[in-house]
Amino acid sequence: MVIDLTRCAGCYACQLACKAEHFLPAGIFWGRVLVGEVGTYPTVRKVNLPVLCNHCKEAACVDACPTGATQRREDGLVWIDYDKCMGCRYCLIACPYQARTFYSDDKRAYEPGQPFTPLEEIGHKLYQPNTVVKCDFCRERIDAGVARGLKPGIDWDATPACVNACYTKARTFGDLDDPSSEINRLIREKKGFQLHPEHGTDPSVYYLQY
Amino acid sequence: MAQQIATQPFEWMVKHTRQTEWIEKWGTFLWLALFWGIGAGVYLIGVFFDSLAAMFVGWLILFVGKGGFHMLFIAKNMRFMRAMNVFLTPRTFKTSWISRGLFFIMLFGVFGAAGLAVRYWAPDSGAALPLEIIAGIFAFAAALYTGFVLSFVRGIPFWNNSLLPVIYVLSSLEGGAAIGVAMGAYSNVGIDAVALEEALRVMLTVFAFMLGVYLWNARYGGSTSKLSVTALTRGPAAFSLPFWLGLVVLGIVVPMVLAWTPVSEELSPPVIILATVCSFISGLSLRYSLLKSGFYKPLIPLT
Repeated sequence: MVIDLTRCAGCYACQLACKAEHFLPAGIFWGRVLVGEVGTYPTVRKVNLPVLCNHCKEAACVDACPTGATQRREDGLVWIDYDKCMGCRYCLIACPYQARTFYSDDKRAYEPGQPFTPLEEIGHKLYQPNTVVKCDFCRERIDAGVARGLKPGIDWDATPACVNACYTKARTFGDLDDPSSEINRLIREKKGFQLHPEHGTDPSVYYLQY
Repeated sequence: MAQQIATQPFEWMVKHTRQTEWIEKWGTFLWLALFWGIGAGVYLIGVFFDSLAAMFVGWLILFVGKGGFHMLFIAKNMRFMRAMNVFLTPRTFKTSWISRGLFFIMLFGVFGAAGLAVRYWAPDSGAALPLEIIAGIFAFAAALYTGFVLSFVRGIPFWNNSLLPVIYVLSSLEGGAAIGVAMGAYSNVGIDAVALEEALRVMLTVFAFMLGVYLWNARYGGSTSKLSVTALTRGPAAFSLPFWLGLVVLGIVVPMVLAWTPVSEELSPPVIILATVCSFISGLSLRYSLLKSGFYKPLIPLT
């Protein structure tokens, strides 16, 4: 994935689309938009930084997981098998980007004191309390789309929800292994960079200069 | 310092963000689990002095105590049963320090129990010593791996330091020696308390030196690592009190002063009790301070 920071308006549509797509329980965010400042006076600038799991090629979380619950697929997606996760949170600690969340409070409702909404009910069936959860690049959408002959990043039904929701087209999704793909072109031409490459994790999410 | 630390939700990973999962709420159990690594020291001292009682106490502390607190940490909803997946997926042994640690503790538990059983029921068979030596190797590995669990975390520069495993081993040995001295002084369990007390002085000195080197090294290991050291040395009481009072004063200064008293006085009951309590507080404070001051590097600025 490539995220163009000059295009991000900080509208949080990606964050909300992710919550809706995955029925995420209260307090859980797979994608976030961080808002900070860069530079020093008088050249201070505000920056919106959308963050999500980087699906690193050398993922620290995959190496850290003692039960094999966190896995990396052949196409590069890093996902969690909730049935194997024992909740030790080593993956969460090991992730330098803090892209993971420990889902523990399964009693918490969006409206305190009110029964769960239908959306919350589905979320509580999907996720197991006391396991770690994180962005999976909407792998169900991608798998279903690819099975129908669609192309991720081009066809809506095979593209992550956050990419579809971005009205400024700040996000581009595609195949990093394909040198002719749109994301590789953007990374080449606009000097895409990864977050904290010094950690040696080789993230699959690139950012374009702000 | 306070301006650099994320205290509000909107500052999460925009400023230096502290890890909380392994020290707050249920994370307290993990802190205690790391502390009971001192059982490795007790067991090794038991093997060295050929003391069945010390080996048994060490086995109990390390296998039942440390293992038990680890299980409590993940005990919610019987999730700890999934720890068995570690043994079903041995490939994780190649990369995961928790996986390795579980193997070490389990193998220590098995070999240690076998060694104790043989030593107790068939002391003349000659089979006990090899089992105890194998168990001792796994006990040492169990003391060592917790340091590697933390030093593997590249996102927390304060932990990502090759000296951390050494600190953990020294702390385990020192804590184990303090228990060994108490056992040797109070009961006839085959431990030479005077000799061990002299060895404890050396361990304490080496531990204090290595801790100083570690903190000095971390102080110049980048801004995030420096922040962790600053939090411990000059930060709010939640950081600095366990460090200064628990680790430095009660863990190093008081035992050092006791070490200079004559051996006959040093092995008097009140001093032994004080030294053992100080050693416990030192071990707890060390692990608390390390876990509490683990900060992640912020994601903004982007470099």
